[in-house]
Amino acid sequence: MEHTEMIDKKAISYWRWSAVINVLFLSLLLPASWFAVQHWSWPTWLSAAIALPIALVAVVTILLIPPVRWKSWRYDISSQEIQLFRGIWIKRHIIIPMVRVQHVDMQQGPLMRHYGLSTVIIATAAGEHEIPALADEVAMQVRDHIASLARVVDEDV
Amino acid sequence: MYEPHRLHPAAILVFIGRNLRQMWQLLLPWFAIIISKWSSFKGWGTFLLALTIVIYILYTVLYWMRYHYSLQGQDFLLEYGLFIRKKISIPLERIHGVQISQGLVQRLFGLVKLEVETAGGGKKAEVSLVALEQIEAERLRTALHGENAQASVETETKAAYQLTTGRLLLAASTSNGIGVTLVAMITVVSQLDEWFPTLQLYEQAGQRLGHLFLSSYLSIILGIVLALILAWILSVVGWLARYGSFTLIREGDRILIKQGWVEKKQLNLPVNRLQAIMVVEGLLRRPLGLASIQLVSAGYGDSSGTTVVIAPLLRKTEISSFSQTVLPEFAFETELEQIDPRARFSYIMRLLFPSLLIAAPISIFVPYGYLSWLLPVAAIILGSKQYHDAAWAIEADKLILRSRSLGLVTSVIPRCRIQWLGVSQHLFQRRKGLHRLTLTTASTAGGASFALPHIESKTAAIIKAWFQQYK
Repeated sequence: MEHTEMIDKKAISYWRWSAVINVLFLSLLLPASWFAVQHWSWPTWLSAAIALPIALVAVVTILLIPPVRWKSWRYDISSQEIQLFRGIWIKRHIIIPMVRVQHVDMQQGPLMRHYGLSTVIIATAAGEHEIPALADEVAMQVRDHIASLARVVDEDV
Repeated sequence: MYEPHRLHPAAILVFIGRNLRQMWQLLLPWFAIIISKWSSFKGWGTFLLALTIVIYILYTVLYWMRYHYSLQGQDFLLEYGLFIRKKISIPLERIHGVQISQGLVQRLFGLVKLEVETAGGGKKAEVSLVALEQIEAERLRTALHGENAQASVETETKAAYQLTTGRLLLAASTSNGIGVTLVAMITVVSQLDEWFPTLQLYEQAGQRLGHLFLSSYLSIILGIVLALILAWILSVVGWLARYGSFTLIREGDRILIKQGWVEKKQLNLPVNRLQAIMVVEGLLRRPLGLASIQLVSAGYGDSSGTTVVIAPLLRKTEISSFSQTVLPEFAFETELEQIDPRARFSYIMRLLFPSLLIAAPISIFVPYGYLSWLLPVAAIILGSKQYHDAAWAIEADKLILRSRSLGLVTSVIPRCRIQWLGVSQHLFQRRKGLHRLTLTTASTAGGASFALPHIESKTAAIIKAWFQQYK
C-alpha cells in the first residue's frame, strides 16, 4: 500500500449529490402513502413507517458514507498488475495482472460531467472492474497508461 | 478448394421442426379457434389451411435450395436467406472446434449435424449445419481443422474413459437429479390436482392403497416408496439419454467426447481453452467413494451452464490415474492443507444465522412449525463439515481449492488461467484476522468464480504472492 493513488476528492460531493437524487426518488413513496392513507383509509402510521427508513437512508448515504468511501479507495498501477483497494464494511484487495486486461474504457454520467469526473473501466475475460471518480485528465492518463502497458505485455506473450 | 454445397434434403424437415418449435405458442390459439368452430370454417377454411401449409413448405424448400456453405481460401463461408441474403464468413484460424451430433431426424436418415464453434463470450456466433451425410461431415471437419485433427473419433484410438452400463445405473441412482425429479413430480401432481379437482387425485390414490392395506400409515409409506421408484426410473432414463455410451479420448491437444443415446453428441475440446477442472463428490456419492469430473472451458460448455462433464462417474481411487492419462496438465499430488480452526465458528455462523431467521417465523406461524428448528441443527452440522472440508494447496503453477456447499468440490486452477484475484475481509472477519479469497477464470458464460472463505492472513498472503509471480 506504499505508493498507491487515491481517487479525486470531488468524488465525495459527487456521491453526496447522487445519493440526494436517490433519496428524492425514494421520497416519492411518501405522497403515495399519504394518498393511500387518505383515500383507501390505510393506517396513518404507514406514512411514518415509510418516512423513518427514508430519513435513515438519507443520513447514512448522504452524510456518512461518501467521505468514508472516498478514504477507503486506493489504486495502484504497475507495469505488471493493477491493484484496487476498496470497501467500507468489506475491505477488498483485487489484483488484475496486466496480461489479462482486454480493454480499458472511460465512462461519465451527466452528474459526473458536472464535477469533471470519469470512471475508468478495466475489462478482463471474466468481468469488469472500475476505478470510480477520477478527474478527467487523470482518468485519461490512467486509461492510456493501462492500455499501453496491456499492449506491451501482450506482445511479450 | 471446396465448392458451395447444399445440406441434405432432410434439412427441410429439421427447418420445419425448428420453426414449429419456435412458433407453437403463437399457432396454438389459432388451432384452438379453428377446431372449435370447425363447422363454420369447413369449406374455405380447409382450402386456406392447405394453401398456407403448401406455401410454407414451398418456402422452406426454397430456403433449403438457397442455403450454401463453402470453403474459400482461408474462410468458411455460409450464405442463406430468401428475401434477406445473409453471408457469414469465419476465418479458419478463428474456428476453435467442430462438433458433430445426431438428433432424432438425423438418425432417421443416417445423417449428422455439424456445428462450428468459434470463441466468443457466450454469444451464438457459431454455425450449425443441420443435416449432412456422415462422409461429408468428416470431410468438412478435416478441412476446417487443417492437419492437426485428421484422426476422428471413429478411428480406433483407445478410449481413456468409458461409462459402462453398471456405472451409468450407479451414477443415475446417486445423482442429485433424483431429488430434482421428485420435486418436479410433486409440482406436477399438485398442479394436476388444482387444474382437475374432479379427479380427486389424493383421495383416489389413498383409496386404492387403502384397499390393499389396513393401516393408512402403511399406504403413505407405500406411496412414498412408489414415488421414489418412479423418480429413480426417470432419473435413469434421463441419464441414459444424456450420458449413454459416454466415451472420452485424449488426442494430442484435444479431448474428444461422445455421449448420448437419444441425441448423439460429439464434443471436441481444445485443451488450451480449458480453464479449470473440478472433482465433484455429491452428497450421496461421497460415502460410496464416487465422484464426477467437470471442467470449465472458454468457448465451450452446454447452454445450461459453464461446465462440461468429462467423467460422469469415477471411483475416487481412479481419479489420479484418470487425470494422469487424460489431463496431466491438471493432475496434482500435493496433500491439501486444512484451514485454521479459528474459521470453524465463522463457517457455522454463516449458515446458522439465516437458518434462524427462517426457522423462527415458521415455528410461530405454521402448524408443526417447531419441526423447522431442525434447520438450525442441520446448519450447524453442515457448517462444521464445510469448515472441516475446506482446504487448499499450491503445486507449481496450480492452485487447488476444496470446498463444500452440499457436495464436495475440489477445483484445480492453473495460475495462467486466473483473470483476477481478490482478497476481502468483512467487519466480523477483521476481528479474527480472517479473509475471503475469490478468483475467477474465463468461461463460456463470461466468467467462473472460485472462493475460499475464512482463511488466515498468512494463507492469503501466500496465495497472493504465488499469484503475483506472473510469467
